[in-house]
Amino acid sequence: MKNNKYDPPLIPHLILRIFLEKEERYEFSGDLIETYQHLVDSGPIRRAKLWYWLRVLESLPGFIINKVYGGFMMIKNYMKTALRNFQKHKGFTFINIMGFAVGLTCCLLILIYVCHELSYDQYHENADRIYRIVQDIRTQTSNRVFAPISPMVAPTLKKDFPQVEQAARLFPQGNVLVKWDDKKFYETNLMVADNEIFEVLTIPFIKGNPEHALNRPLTIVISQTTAEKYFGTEDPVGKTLKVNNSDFEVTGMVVDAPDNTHLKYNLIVSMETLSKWDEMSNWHSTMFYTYLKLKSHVDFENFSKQVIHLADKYIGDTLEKWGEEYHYMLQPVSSIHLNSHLRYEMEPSGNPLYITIFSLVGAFILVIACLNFMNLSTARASNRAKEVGLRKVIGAKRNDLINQFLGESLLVVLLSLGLGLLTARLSIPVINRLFGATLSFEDLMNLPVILALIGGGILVGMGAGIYPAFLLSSFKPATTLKGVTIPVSKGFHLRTVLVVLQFTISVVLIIGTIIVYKQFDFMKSQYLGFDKEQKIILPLRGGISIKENYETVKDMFLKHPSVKNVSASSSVPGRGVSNFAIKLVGEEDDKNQSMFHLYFDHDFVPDYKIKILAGRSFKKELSTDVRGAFLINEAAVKAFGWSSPEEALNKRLQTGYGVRVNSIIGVTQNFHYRGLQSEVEPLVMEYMPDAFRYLTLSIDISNMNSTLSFVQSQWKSLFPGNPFESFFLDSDFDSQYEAEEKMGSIFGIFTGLGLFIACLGLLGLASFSAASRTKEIGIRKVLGASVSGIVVMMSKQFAKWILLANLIAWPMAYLAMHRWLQNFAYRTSLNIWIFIGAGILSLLIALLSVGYQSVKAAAVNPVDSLRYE
Amino acid sequence: MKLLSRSEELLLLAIYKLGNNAYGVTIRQQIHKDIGRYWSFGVIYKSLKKMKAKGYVKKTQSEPRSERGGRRRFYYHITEKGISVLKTIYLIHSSAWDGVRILSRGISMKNEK
Repeated sequence: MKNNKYDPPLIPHLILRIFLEKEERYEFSGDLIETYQHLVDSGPIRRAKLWYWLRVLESLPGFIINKVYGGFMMIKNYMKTALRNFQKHKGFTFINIMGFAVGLTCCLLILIYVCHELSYDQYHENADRIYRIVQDIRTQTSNRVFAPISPMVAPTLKKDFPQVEQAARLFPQGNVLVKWDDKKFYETNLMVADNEIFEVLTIPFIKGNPEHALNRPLTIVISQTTAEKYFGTEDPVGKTLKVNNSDFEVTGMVVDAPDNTHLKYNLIVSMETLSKWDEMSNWHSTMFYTYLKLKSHVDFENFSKQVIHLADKYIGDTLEKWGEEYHYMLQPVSSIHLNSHLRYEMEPSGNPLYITIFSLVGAFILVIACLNFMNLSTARASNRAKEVGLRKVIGAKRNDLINQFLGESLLVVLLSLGLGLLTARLSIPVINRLFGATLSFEDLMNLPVILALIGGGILVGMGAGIYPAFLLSSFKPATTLKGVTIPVSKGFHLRTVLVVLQFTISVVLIIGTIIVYKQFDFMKSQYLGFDKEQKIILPLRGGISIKENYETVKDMFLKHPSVKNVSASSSVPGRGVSNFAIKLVGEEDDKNQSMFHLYFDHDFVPDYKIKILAGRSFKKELSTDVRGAFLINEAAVKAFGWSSPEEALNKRLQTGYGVRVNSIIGVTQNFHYRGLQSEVEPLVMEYMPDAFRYLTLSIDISNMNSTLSFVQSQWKSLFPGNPFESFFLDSDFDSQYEAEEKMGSIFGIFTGLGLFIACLGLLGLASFSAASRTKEIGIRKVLGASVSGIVVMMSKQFAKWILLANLIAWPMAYLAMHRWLQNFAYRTSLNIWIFIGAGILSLLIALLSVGYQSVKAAAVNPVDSLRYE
Repeated sequence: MKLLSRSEELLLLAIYKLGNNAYGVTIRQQIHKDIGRYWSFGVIYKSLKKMKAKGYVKKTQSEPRSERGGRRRFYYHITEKGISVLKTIYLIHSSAWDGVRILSRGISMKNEK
């Protein structure tokens, strides 16, 4: 009996379902089917079907008008009631909308962040065919994977592998001085590149021809912003820029590097410029980032296997002799930002873990916001109970009421969404500053995202509104009209669990914030083993060398009475130190050690007040000290396995830039030449003027302005071509703790948010509990309870939960922060008082937020709360 | 008393004539017999619902029937109130038409509505 010929056509049947209530549909379809069957028996089935269709269609207009008109009237009424309710309970509505808006703001920001991180380097044309090739240098004991590789790889790829469509090399240069006319700037994002880079990566030209922009030596392509910086509105093409004293012809202007790429170019110089450099044919160099584009439909698996040993054909013998192996590997260009953490990445990589964590946090915040909204709405149900009763008496069906309350929560959610979008828009600049991020609100402004937002908003509104809607609509008119009854909740309910959970998280965050700041403070105030106060540093950039004349240069600055001392060095504490292999002369070379190196003159040690433990420091009078002696620090003594500093004296080392053999003449106490995140590592110091890159001026800060202007004028006469730059050693050193400071602010923000949301949850719970205990409180008051007694009674209940939350939070926070502190070689202590303090703080905030509710509940006249009994 | 509308009047008359067999299908056929064209079901139900609310008709239901796909029939019966309202409308019609009887032959059906 599946396909009964008497069965009516399906579609009109379904149309009826949409437009008619069950009762009316029942009668109508009954009548229709009866006649239909009659028609089927008496004539062709097509006529019967046509008849059925016509009957349904001709009745439709009437149904539609009925439904829309009736619906419209009801919606008008619902809106009116909803708005009246909002007005009547302004505070509650405000909190409810705010709570949701804050939650949504977080989610939106997280959404923007996640979208941004995932979009890295996706914009290149055929991004799925673009790869970076990296090199794994393996010895028997170690393997090191480098992002930059030999300049020989790109030509070899093009020559030996037909699958490769194009390959190009990039060689970034930091710190070059670029001049045009009277405009001089230090540029950090300059790259030397093959012209083919424009074929591999998408770098659109605004002016100039991408086909041969970088074909000749001494040509340069610049970004739009850079062009404006030097040439204003003038056409940059054909102009001549001076880069570190060589003239480069500008052959093109390209669009600025977008935020979501790992290669942030500003100026691109032709690789041809370097063609005479012997490094260009060195297979063992690791300086050139190499990108390639595969032809379409290339078997990637197969290709990636082939390239592993691409160098063996050329240098296999040498490598074998050295006991090394070079393995080459391919990385899809869009995965570099998140998934590549190699040596010498072009910029610090993103962390995929953060994406997961942030997405989870976002989802969690959203769920919590929904649940809080649910709690608050349910708690307020008592206010609406009479309305529900009355509506039911008048004839509202349960469905109507559910629709009404769902609609109301939808309204609140949409308002919150609007507010959330607004706050997200406003807070993006702040976020960008804190995280050092480059998020933009415009990322959200495309159709799919907007549709998703609206759809998501509706879903969330439904989700959050469904429980209150069902609860409210279930009230029985007879009881609600008599008086308010909210079921008394006993035991450990879901909402209690949620509030405890929220406070647990908040307490963890509070403790985290305190500890991060404490560690930050600790690092700033710790004695570093040298004197960092009252020192101005002048970096010597843009090709300045004081190799020959450093004594005269120093004397020029010393002319001012406030400049007490000047020393020259290759680096200053807080700025990088270089690392070279080191060997003790006369011992077996099996340790394969390397150590950090610092180069300075004879004034450095007394100037920085670094203590000498054994031997002596460099002396001005002894010209043999220049390039002829080593100082080492305590850590190095330990690393060589000597028992005392004295034992190190006169030992001979072979190390350094240009590998020299010299004796150790002294041992210094350990001093922190890097931030306190890391242990003081072995350091070798040498007197080598070739490497001097910084001048340290110890000054008397009493008349700072005149000193500074003197220093500046001396600079101008000494190095007329270079802009004057200076910084204070102490603040520069502390800038190494920027990450920690940032983390502190992020923690602080999340703590504030967490607490706010948790308090909302608690408030919902408090109002719920107050509503369900109205009668109890009334009776207690009749029997003689005081207002304060009842407030205490209500608060005790919440205090219990907060304490529970604290007990859960403390070990969690302890473990998490203990682990975090392991990142630091020098760390602050985890004090029990931090935990207790956080506990008290959370308790205070919680009690404050429920205080009003408790007092209000306690102050109600028992006559009012017991009247209906 | 509020006057019946013309469609209500025709429906009531049809139900009256059908006696105990007045439900959707038969009512529609009766209307066709009376005035020469079919009304849509929607119009019929709408008026019936109104008259039920006013108390002119009442509704009973049959056992589920197979020719209706297992649904019940809803029978409409005219009430005392319905009969008296029909009587009133008849009287009103007759007195209203009283003076124009001579001209009636010249008036076409179209102008009736």
